[in-house]
Amino acid sequence: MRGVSIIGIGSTPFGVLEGQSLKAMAVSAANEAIRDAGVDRKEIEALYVGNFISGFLAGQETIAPQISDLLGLNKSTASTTVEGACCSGGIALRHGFFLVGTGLADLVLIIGVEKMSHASTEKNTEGLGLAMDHETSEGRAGLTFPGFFALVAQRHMYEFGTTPDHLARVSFKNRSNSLKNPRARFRKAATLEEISHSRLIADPLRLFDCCPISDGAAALVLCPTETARSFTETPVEIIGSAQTTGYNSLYNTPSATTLDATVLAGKQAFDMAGLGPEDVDLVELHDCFTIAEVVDSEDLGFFPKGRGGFAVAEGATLVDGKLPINASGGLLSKGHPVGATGVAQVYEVVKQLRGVHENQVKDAEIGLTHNLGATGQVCTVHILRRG
Amino acid sequence: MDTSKGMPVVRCGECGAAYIPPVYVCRKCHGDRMEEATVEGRGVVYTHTTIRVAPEALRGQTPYTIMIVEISPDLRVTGRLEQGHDPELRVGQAVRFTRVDDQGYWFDSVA
Repeated sequence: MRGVSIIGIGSTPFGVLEGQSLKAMAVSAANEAIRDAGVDRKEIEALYVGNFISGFLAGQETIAPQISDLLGLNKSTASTTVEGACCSGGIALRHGFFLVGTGLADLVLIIGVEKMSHASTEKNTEGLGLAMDHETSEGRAGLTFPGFFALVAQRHMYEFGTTPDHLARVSFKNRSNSLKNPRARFRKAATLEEISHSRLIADPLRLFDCCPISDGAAALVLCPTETARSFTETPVEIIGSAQTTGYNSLYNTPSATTLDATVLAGKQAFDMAGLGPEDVDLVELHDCFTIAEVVDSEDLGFFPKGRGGFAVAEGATLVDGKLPINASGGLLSKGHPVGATGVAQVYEVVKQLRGVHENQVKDAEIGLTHNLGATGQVCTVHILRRG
Repeated sequence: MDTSKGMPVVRCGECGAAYIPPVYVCRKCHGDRMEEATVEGRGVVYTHTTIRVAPEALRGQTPYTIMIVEISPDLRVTGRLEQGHDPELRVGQAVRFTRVDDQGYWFDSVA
């Protein structure tokens, strides 16, 4: 394997992008990434598009070749859509990483995209629910995604003393971060009081514990590290990449307070990078729900199991804290266009490592992204280094 | 499904490990001969939640409780509470299997 670097990034804002189609958003983000990289689009050899439910929500499949055609890429380009629920974007990046790393391609474009806001909440709930294993007693019982993470939260509170206030503070932190991010869906401040008293969705999770339905797209251009500096003065190298598999249901998971796919992906990515959790300067992780941020931060090895909520309360994960988590606002406040998220997390970290983020973490050199799909069934972790 | 004899499970024909269906390959010995069986169906609440925003089809049933019941250290199952929603429900509370239908496994709390 040779080194792989990110030389171009692009993103639409996340939120309700009325009138913008799935493909228009994908093209917009990709155009920005191609221009940012300063590459000739005719030299792009492969395109991977991360997307989860365009077939169900937008009535459109086979989107990768269609986006490729709209972008004016060469007809010799291989255009592929990958699906892994909310982890689709992370998987798309990993495939590009393989192709460039093995030397099979020198220039690869990655896009993550989802269009959701045009559909009703019921339609979105049903669409997202397609990622659950409907043969299990869990799917049949009427368990929703908020319900799944509520079961995790209840057990985490029982075993470790995590409190509703800890969860509210995750939401408050991410909302405060997103105020500075022009790409974020939520740009209006919320008080702890408002967060703690929002309506219950699945006890103990409240409205502000859940990420919002959003539209959006993000894109990256990859090339070999050895040629990255001929395109940009600020390349970012992918030094760790991992993808793992979890369980189809929570009742089969050995512990409801640990998502094994995250633990394994974190270990694999750190092994590949030759680094440990203590070496990371900032993290963008999969906070689809507040409890997910707590559990992920433990499963990735940043805090001992059970201490994630306490770390938030102590301010450890603030932008100026010991380990800034989700300086972008995260899924909770930046938004979660499901197929776009894994790519967008990398977009945010690259901006941080270039030193030009709107909510900049001081002296950031190493960043980590964690992208989770469905009920922890699929996970990717990427570790990125400046230079 | 006849539930008069207890809670339906599948049992590995090779090593005897019990699972909540569907399981096609034994997670312990990888045998693929699964047989229908029953267990007593008494357990404790491992974790629980009350669903207040439901999928379209179950909207009329809210609020409803979903819990994971621990039958034994090796066997947990996600199920519904017969009482619908019980604000007093706690982790560790004893529950008893009652029936299976198209919404899965149902349990009663035991005083």
